[in-house]
Amino acid sequence: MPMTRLTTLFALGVMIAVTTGCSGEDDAAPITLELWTLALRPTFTDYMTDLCERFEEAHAEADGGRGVQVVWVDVPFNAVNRKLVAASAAGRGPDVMNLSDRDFARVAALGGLAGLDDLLPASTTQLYLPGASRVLVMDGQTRALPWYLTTSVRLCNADLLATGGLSPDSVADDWAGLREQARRYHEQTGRFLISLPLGESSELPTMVLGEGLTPFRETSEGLRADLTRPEVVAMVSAWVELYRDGALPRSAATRDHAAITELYQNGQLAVAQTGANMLRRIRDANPAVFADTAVRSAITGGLGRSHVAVMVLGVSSRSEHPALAAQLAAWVTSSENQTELARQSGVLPSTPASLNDPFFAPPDSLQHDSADRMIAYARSISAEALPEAVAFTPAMPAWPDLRRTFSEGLKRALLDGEAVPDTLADIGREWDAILASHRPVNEEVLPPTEPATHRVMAEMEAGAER
Amino acid sequence: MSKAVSLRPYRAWTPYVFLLPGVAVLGVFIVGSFVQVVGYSLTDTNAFNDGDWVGLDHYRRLLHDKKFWYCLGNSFLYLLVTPVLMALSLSAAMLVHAGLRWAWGLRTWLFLPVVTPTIVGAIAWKLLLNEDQGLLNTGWEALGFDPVYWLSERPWTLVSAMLVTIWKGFGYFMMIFLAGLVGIPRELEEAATVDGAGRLAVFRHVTLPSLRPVLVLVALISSISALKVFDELYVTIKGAPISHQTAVPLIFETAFEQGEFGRACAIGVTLFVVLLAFSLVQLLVVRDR
Repeated sequence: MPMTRLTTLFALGVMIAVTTGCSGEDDAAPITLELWTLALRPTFTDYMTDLCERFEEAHAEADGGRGVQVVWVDVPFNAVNRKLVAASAAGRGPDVMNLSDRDFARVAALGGLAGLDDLLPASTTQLYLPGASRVLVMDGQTRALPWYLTTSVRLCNADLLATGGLSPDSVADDWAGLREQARRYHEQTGRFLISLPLGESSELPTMVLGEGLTPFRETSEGLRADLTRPEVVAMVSAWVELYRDGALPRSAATRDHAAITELYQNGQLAVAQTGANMLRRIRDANPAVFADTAVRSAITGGLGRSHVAVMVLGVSSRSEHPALAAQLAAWVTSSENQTELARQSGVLPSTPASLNDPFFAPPDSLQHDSADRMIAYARSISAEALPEAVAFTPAMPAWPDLRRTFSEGLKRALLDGEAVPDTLADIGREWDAILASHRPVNEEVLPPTEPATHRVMAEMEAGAER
Repeated sequence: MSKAVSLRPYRAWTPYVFLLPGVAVLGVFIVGSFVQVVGYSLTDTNAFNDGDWVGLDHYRRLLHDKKFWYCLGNSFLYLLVTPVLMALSLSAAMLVHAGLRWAWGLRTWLFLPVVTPTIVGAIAWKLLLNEDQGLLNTGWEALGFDPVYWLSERPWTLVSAMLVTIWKGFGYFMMIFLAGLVGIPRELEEAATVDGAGRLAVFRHVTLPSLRPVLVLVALISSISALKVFDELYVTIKGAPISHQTAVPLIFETAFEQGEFGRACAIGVTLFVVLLAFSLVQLLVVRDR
């Protein structure tokens, strides 16, 4: 037989083998569920592996005995957007995905998340803290389950504060006072007292809502922008002026919250408002700064409620096994599993049952005489604030667009010298156009405007005094 | 006696058979993808949904989108790197070509940025240009000057990214010029020298005209690269307003940050048309001369 025919036959054989081998799903093979998490490997590899194995064991008889295999994929925090978009567009997206609350809104708005109300019993979706789960209901459907949470504490570098004549206890506990101190501190020392993401991923919109101000007005066509009201203009102007005066680092305009932790752990920032779990990172990265650190309660807005950042688990709208995927999300976010994760990581759980664990109680002595004690103290402050904490994020599909527009607009004021009232008026017009292009929403989607109760306020004040 | 070699008769389709693999690869990966992108640009497809037909809506919206025009304008501003790159790389090539004893080491040293990953180089530049603690501003302020806001304020944002592009690219173009210089017959320059021409005159009347095809090639390649620049901007000035960036970062942001594939494809197609027109004009201008 000539060589060419042999080659042709061989190629044909390979093609047939490949195509028959790839055709169809093996009915006897376990159902595969892909779970994406954010930056948990390698620290929590054992925890996650155990979690997945226990889920597989509990669902060994699923789908007529096929069982379930959970494929856990850990994705770097900064890469999740790109990877998720690329994988989903290629039809290879995960069944269950871990998202930050900010990314959640974007993915939900694009129709990437399945409604969970039809997949899980109401008793499951109501297990979580209302301040965290409120933001996950969009267009009348629960689109994700809250997983772990972060409320802020104030980290004070006593050594750096002393160079400007301040101490952790003399640092102002309201934003206006802190801005004033930041200006004086910079004039005296040339250093920075605080920083805040004003431009990139601006935190000002959530801070405005945390003050009890509503940057929206109700109209017959749904919510419209109300950014030019004097209180909002005054608040935004105060921060922009502080930046223009040079009392905030340049990264305040161009970097997100990650820059604050970096600056603090490098000893370039005297006060950082950030998650209590960051203390561990600072301890590992710069023990000298950690040793100078004192922890105080976070500054809140006028409502006295902390903003809570929510990590969520959602089920892809393209999942082939949405019911099982929803069960996996519920399993990962269950009270028992969250309590264990919190013990290992120091993050806050989203289930009230987990918060009752002694792990979240204040340490016996409040002297910061050991690293673990300080971390425990920071954790207890965060946990105390949690029951009344709120995700100051409107639960509407347009929110990611509104927030991005705000950030871009504010960069013009910060970096191109635009007048703040003009900038806010421009942003308001853009907000109106965005809101008009979405399904009308009313004030129900906005976070609550009631102040925290006295009980929690008193506890927070007591914490600050300690 | 050797066996007679039988030559098969020439068939008209034989060349096409040889062309087929190349055409197939180009067809699938270039033309096919491009047609798909044009198709997407006419829908509101996103990462999670196939989307509906919207016709020319994205293109109509682009016409009134200030951000798009800013970014396109910045793309053309970025073309300023081309003359700088050409001047620097030609100078470096002539230095290396001059027959100096340390030419080999110099060539290697100048070529190093080319083999350095762009991301690594851009991060190093970003640290150097850091506005609060960067080496450049620290030195600048020590001399009594105000700090320069390299990474956040216009026009320094684009200048910073251009610096990275130039640093990264000029070694590559130096090698192309070097190949061109090696190809110029020595006799031409020697004859001009014998005729009394100075170094500058030799360069102007012999070297430069001989390098014309290389100059055209470098101008074309570097300007198209400048219009398509992304990595340097993404790493160096990420966080600066999008209106400080060029068209490709806008495509990236629209597709991967906002998830709007349809709109991103429309920007991509528009940029392609602009690039095509620019290249054609450039070629026509060069040909006429």
